[in-house]
Amino acid sequence: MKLGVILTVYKKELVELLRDRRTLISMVALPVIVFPLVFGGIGKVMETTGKKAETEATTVAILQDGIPADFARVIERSGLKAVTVSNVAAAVEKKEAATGMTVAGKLVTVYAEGTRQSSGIAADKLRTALNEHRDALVIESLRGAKLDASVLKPFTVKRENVASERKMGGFLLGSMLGYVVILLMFSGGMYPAIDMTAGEKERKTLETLLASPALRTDIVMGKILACVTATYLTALLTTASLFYSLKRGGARMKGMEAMVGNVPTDPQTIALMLMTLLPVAIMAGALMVSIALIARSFKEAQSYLTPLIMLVIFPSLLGGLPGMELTPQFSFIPIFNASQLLKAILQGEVSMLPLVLTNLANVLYAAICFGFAVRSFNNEKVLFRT
Amino acid sequence: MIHVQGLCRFFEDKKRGTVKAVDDLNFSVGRGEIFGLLGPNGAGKSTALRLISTLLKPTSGTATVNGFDISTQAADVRKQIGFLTGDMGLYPRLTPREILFFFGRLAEVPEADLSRRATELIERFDMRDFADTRSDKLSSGMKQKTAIARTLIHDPPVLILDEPTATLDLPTARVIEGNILDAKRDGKCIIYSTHIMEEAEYLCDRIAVINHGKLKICGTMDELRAATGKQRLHEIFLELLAIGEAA
Repeated sequence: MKLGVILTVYKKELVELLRDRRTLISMVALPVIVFPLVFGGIGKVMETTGKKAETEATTVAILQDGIPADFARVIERSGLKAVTVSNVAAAVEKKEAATGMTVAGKLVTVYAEGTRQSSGIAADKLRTALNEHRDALVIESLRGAKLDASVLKPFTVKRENVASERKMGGFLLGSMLGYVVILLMFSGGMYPAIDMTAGEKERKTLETLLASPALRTDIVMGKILACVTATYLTALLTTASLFYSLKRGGARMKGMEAMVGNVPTDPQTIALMLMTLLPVAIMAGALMVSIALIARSFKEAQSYLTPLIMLVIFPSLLGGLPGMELTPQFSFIPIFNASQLLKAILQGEVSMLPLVLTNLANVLYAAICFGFAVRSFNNEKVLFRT
Repeated sequence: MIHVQGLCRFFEDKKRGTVKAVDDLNFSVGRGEIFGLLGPNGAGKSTALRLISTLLKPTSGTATVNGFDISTQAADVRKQIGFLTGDMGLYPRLTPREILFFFGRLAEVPEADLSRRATELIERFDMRDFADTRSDKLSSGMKQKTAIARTLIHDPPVLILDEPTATLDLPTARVIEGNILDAKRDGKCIIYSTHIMEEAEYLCDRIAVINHGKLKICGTMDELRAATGKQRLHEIFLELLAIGEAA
């Protein structure tokens, strides 16, 4: 094995990759552009639609016959404006009013169109005002009976979230990071893997390369290292982009501000994540190189690797689901283990045993894939398959 | 420099059974000699060249290149040869200069020598104007010049050239031929495969014709004429193929 030759192949592959538009799109553009766009876009849309709904939530439909005077005052207090209609439900449905109200004896019905945010907001306002009115009536009755209002609330129930802010932030990011990063790692490494194997066959450069004095093992090592670099770089860019996008764009998402604000970015968390992703990147790079090597053309290699990416989705998605925990046994399931470990790291709850077992298992799988790729590259039938 | 002895390469094919791509090939090529390897498509020329270049392993028999055995000393054999495939084999996203440096480094040519050698080859093949242009932007002639310069970057004693002028116009082909004759004068041992009979007649010191993997004839033009009673190489070639088909 000659390090100089390996580095020569490695550098050449990187230069070629950086000059290929397809690779740049899958490796750099996708993770760097998509997340800020998605999260920034979603945040912006949520903000805008929220404001719009707020301004539209202004009217309440009532019947032409009217409603009792005290209820008319309730509508006034809620800040809504009464609109007289012949059919309340139809008026709300046809957007003639944001919400509606009918009073039949002791039954007060509030109408809302469940798919319209402005209708929900108006109905909530109306319901709050009605509850306040009902409470006032109850208190008045209690006073008449010489009773204190506290008899209605002998105790208060309060729910306390014992999860730390850090854990909540990690929970949000952890449930999606493993899935997204692992998926994009594979798709980011796919084009480089194909380009340097089946692509070389298609461009008829492989024979020339193999006829050079370099050993085949050195050549394939350089190629795998370049593919691993591309895969790992995609993982780093995806992670950084996801963190950045969640911190910036996520803060606009209603109800998520606190969680998003607490996404952990301390050096220890980042170091543990990078350590976890490295063997997965080696495994992904080596595996894709060895599979793409079998193909005779770029297209054929794509048809082999696309199902692999589909196969990766399932364990990585499963690993991010709430309720799934990384036990020592689960630490041996590739992809799933990394996805789970990333979630645990982000939540600040990583235990030493699963951490060590997962990384050891993934290093072993990476070595097996690496060995398989080297072996394939020394196989005449694989290289000259016609 | 090259000694081929009983070289065989058989493939298993589902439809055709055992295919004898190269069948008991024997020949030698000396220093400063251009050896023409002719044959129709599918005759086994490319397989023979791939075997000598160690890209494929022989089923039986062997060959030595500058004293190194193709079966047991493959890496040493590859250091002795510059191999030009029929497809040129250029990296489209690299420039000719980058290609020369890449293959020079694969051959572990010291950096100082590599720089000097690359400049020398760029001058010799008149590549200055396009040495730093990406290969996918080059004409066929420019590409072929680059491909031949690449085979020479580590100054190998043996050149294996598979149809080096096939896609070229006449002036560019003449430049390439001139450089091949220069390499011969430098004492290099050259195996030259081509379909252009006039070129083989003009360039080669000895010519071998193979068909169905077997060597049909091998010798100088005079020896070939004497053996077949024909004067021109294309007549000799067709005569040998006709005899082969009749047999």
